[in-house]
Amino acid sequence: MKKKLIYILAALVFSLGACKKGYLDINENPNSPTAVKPALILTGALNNTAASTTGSSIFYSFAALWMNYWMTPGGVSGWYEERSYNFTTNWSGSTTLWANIYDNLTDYAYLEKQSKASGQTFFVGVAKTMKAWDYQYLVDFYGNVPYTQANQSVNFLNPKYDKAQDIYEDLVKQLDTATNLFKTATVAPADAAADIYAHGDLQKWGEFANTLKLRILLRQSEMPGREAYIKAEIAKISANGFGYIETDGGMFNNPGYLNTTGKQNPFWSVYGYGVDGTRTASHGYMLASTYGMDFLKNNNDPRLGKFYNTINDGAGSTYVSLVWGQEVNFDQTISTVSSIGEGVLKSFDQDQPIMTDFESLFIQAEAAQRGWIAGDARAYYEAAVKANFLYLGLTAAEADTYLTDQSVANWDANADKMALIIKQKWAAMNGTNDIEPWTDYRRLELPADMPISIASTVTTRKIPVRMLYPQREYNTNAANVIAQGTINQFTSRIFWDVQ
Amino acid sequence: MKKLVLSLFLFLYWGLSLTHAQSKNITGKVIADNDGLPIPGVSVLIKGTKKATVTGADGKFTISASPGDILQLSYIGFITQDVPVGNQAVLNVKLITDAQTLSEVTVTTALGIKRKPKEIGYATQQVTGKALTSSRPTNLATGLSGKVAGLQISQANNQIDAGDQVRVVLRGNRSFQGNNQALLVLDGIIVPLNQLNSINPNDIESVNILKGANAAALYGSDAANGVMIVSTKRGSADGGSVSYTNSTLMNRLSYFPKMQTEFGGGTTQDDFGFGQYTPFENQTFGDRFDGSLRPVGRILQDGTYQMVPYTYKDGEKESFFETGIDEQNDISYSGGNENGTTYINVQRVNSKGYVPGDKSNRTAFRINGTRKIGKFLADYSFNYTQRNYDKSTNQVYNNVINTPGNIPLTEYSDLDSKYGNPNDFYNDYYISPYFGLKQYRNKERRDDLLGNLSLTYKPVDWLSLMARGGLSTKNSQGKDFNYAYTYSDFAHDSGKGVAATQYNRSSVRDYNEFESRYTGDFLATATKTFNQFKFTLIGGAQVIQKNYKYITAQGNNLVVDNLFNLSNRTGEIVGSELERNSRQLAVFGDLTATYNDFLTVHVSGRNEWDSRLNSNNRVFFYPAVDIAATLTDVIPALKESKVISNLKLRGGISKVSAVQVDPYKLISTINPASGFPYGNTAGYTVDNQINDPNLKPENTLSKELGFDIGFLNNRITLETSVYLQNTKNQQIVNGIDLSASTGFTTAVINTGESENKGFEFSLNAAPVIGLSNGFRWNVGINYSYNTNKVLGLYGDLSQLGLGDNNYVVLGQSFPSLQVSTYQTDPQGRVIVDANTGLPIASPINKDFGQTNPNHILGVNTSFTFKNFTLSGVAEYRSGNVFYSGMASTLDFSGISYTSAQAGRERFIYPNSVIQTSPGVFVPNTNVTTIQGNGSFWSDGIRTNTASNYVSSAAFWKIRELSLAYQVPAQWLGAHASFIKNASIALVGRNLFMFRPSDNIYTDPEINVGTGNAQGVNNLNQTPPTRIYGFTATIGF
Repeated sequence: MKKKLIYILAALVFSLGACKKGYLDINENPNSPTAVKPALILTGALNNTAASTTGSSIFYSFAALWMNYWMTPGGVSGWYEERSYNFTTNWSGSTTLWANIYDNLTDYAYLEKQSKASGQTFFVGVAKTMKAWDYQYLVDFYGNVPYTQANQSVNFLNPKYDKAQDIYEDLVKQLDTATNLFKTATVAPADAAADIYAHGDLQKWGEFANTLKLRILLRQSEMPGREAYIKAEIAKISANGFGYIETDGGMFNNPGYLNTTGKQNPFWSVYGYGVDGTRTASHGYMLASTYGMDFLKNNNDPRLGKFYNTINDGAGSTYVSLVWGQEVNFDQTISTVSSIGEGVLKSFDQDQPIMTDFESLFIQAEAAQRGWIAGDARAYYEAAVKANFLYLGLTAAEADTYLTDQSVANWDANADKMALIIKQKWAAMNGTNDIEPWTDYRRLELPADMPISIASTVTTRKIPVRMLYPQREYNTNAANVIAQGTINQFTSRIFWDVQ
Repeated sequence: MKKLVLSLFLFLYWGLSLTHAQSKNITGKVIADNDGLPIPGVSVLIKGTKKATVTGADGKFTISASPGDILQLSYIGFITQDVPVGNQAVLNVKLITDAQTLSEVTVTTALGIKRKPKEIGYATQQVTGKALTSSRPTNLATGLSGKVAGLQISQANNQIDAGDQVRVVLRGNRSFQGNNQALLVLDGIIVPLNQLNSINPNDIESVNILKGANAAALYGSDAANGVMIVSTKRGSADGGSVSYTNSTLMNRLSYFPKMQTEFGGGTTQDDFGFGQYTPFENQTFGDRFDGSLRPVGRILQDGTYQMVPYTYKDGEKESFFETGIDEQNDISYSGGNENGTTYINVQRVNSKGYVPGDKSNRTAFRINGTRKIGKFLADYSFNYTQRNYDKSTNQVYNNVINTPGNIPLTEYSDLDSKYGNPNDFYNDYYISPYFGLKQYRNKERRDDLLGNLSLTYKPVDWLSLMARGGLSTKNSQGKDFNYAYTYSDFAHDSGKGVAATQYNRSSVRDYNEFESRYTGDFLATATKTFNQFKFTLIGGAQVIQKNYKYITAQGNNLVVDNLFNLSNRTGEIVGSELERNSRQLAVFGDLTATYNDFLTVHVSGRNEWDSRLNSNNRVFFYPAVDIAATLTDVIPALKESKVISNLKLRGGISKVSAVQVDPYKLISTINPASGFPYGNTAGYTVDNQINDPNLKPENTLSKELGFDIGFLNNRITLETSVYLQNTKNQQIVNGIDLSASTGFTTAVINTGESENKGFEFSLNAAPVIGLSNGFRWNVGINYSYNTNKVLGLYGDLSQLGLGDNNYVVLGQSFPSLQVSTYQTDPQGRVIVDANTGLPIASPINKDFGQTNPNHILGVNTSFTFKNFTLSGVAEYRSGNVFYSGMASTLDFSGISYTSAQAGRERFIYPNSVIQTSPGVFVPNTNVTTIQGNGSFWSDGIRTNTASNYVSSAAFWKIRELSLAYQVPAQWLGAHASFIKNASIALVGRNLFMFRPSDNIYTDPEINVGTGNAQGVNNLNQTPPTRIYGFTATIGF
């Protein structure tokens, strides 16, 4: 009896396990997909690039202060690291940039792999270009970083660090491959729609890849014995025929920004206004810096009213600034000091610049001045200033007047052309990309009179030359990061920073 | 309701009075033969009737009986005695001890199977419902604290919904990231641990704790963490009785962190570095209190200031918190006859929190019963609990504690008053805590249903077949309310920080959480005796289905202010949905063989199918074996010993395979990228977590050995165990931390091995002292030592983050606390900058050791004399550290005690050194910190360095203290004979706490969550409380 029962029981249960095989097959994720078409990743990744590089608050929170565009007012605790340059591996500048850019690179790695498999060569080219974009920033911030073993998930849990210069050289090769792909690719309409930067315009992608490559090459301008390499690589750019980003060109992101929380233009959402039209907290935390404002004020620059707002005194013409690092009083707030202007804070759905025409023209001006690309440096330079005026909502005529009348802008009035180009590039980049001027400063020590913070907490009177590796690396990839030696933000320079 | 209860009482009184009239009162005293001590709790029954009573604490009883009646006196461990009633009015009885009957006591083990203690080869400990509820906890887990060796109960928070924030761990941690909390079994059915707070503690007959993994064959893998078997009350088979209990408990703030009382509000410093007073500052870096009359807040619209003496206002912050009240009312019925029993209880708990405005209630209804229908026995229990919460979601503790000492905070309680209204509240950067309580609120209703029904059929007397179905559902519906507020033009234009946005629009979030668990069991139990062998064979099968669903939708910028409906919004609805479904199947067998009633071998095995793993890995088998030998039954010297009355040796070994991951964790997901969709434009991004599609179960091998010994007729008992558990193939459920450069930040894989070991003992003396006048002193001591070690992780990884600064570090016990720290020289002295005198931050975190206690000691004691019982529970824990994240905030605001220790002046950093050349450190004797005021204490170099806020987590707590009075049965018989029993008690919980001197912050039990990461707090939890009150019970 007992045995019989056990047999019956066993048979019952095994039949449950065996014949109703589907009973346990309920592990398909009802919440999230586990595979999507490359086009969906492309759209997400391009938008994330904008949100984690040129449109991100971290791109401005320290560099805009160090480059004397903006300054934090009174009544706001903190900003210790920014104001004193004394930051640690836990500081957001060290941690956020690394995390966000590698996160973005995962999507481009997925995109490249999936698009290769599906034969969507346009996407492969975009993935390679955007990887170069992201990695250039990683190298410029951190120097040696994981590259060859990066973004390979469990294959390399502790990716080794590659030499910064080796990465740079490979990026150049990747961009060559990308431009070749852009030459031959065909773009399906659906794929063009997914490309929220250029809508499948291969010429635009070619220009962007070329300009990015030129930027990478120009970065190495001060390295001894590097000129031949740079020239040879520029020759390859010229050969592909796409040219560079010219006036009215440029790469901009706009997925269709909405006036909804989390869906506004990222720069606007941090430094502009909330969904209900009230200004954000950070809007009040970033006010005009004296050096940046005075350059406009003292030289009758019509961009003054575009980069900065007048104060709220009823006159509509008073501009007030704070000296970088000064002790500030409680009454020095957004009511009494100028804030970020409407030339860069245009609307909740403004295009987010990735690379503007004026940045490209300044790069070309410098390259031409060095004799590395064909064309007249002056023409590039003046086109760059003009393009900046137009971007800010001013007219070409106003730009012409400025370029003619102001000694700080007039080509002929300045003997040191490089200093002129870089100073005007610095003036133009305010509020669209504050990292490039910091990088130019590290490379060329220009503008030479860039003020150092006068805060009492400053212990090393020098603008940092890099970010520190994030604390998470010391926790999760310790051997490899420690192998990079002791890193100091004032002395451990990036390979191209030789001065 | 009250009227109904009253009339019920009257009815019962009438019924009882009739029987009373026919008899006379007999009083007596029952003592034990061996020690002559009175025995409380002896059942005195008039044979052939349902009339019964029990002896009081002094062994005395009163019963009305007629001459010729026979009194049957019975008590566990004594031979039942019949005493005929003659004409005497006093009847004293001496009961004879019986070792045989003592061994007939049974323990409820897995699946409700009752077994004799001598047959059990693993560690168990039982807590009776009475012991559990002596201090009237509203959550049953808190009533277990200190009462079971090896059990650690942690109450993570004290706000109104604190009952849901309890962590329950037996024998420490095994799994790095998987669940380590004990399994909860209610009336034989597994229910989720989050149902703990919906069980009325007063319904509990007993809680039996299986400490090890040996029950896993019958309950499944979750039992690897030990099991809490909760049995609810069944009706008694002899007649009916009704009892009513009221408990009213108050809870009050017990203490705050230590604060400075010398300096007032301010943030700036003069040219000499001295703090300057700012009337509207949230920080406290102003100048020293001088008693002068000073303005507080910004200038008002009428051109005046509130003027307040510049002194420390003692007790202002403490007075912000109110006295919370928990009022429990229970009415229960217990009754039945030989064909069935019924137990009904209705409980209502009304609570008012100590955070002003917080309130909640719980209504619980339970009906349990048994019915005999022919050869079938049906047993059912059904419980419905509804809870309603209304609480503040503002970080109110932060606002209160960081208020500068010169501020008369309680004056601002009226939000319409001149200085209390939000426009003119003194603080520029934080809203008034009173305003915060009103502006940000959450309401939630939870409906819990627990039920099970079992049918047992006995075709022949050696075989029983049982089918059982059980369900538990939890349904929470909640709503977050953020109220609108418009600041005045004056406040907005004044530059007041909080009024920067003039019109703060209202927003709403709705959510619904549903969780259910269905269990079906089939069990066949065969019991046969062959000569000296007794066999019990159980075969069974089990089906479990778990479903979970969570939906939330949020609407911002409501159009009509404070109309909290999603339709009343502008912009898109922000919402999400999460669903989890899983199924498990199992067959199991369990054989117990007992030889000659002294040696028991128990073997079990379980084969499981789990839908959460792929088809290659989801079928797995795990076995267990344990042996128990009662030496006092076989060794003649022991058998005849007058000293040793019981000696049992036991040992067991078991393997458990567990699936720790949630469903759908085998493949990485791709999710909508941040911000998407933008209208019709979709964009996706690869998730930051990677997964192993071939994930295997996590395996734990547990071994334990122990012995139980009883002395002097088991007046003194000692139960001990040692255990060793090795967990391999750990499922890293939240993912091991990866370098972001891998493209992912976490990976869910099988990796790593841990070892967890310890020993525990439970020593009970009942009584330590017992006198013939009825005085009894009982003591129980529960001690456990637990330690664990990480034997392996993954590849080159040396550690794994659990979040909240907790890490699993190779070669160390886990989780250990690692936090940012300063650079130190080889002697551990802090290195300061030679110019600034400031400590230099280290890029490497410092490891402070484990966050779980090594030592847990619980001491229970009770003194009974006459009708009074004084009892208490104390608990000690040590061996762990904790990080007070809150203290960093206190330094930032300048309210912390530490921040005033250097007099707010530049100082030489204590025990610091200066590096003169690489590797050469000289003591710093003259370089003072470049700043000494707010710019030192509130800046990153201090507040971001968490090692400044780590302290010992050791404590002694007086968990429970109660003084109970049992109204004498004689008195009731004479004055209110319709009342069978009545008692009142004064009770207190967590009345006293003793901490090491370095812990100037808070109760280390308070924690950010109830997960594996422990030992970290912040200002989202509310401060510790003391609970005290009274309780009264009347039985009819």
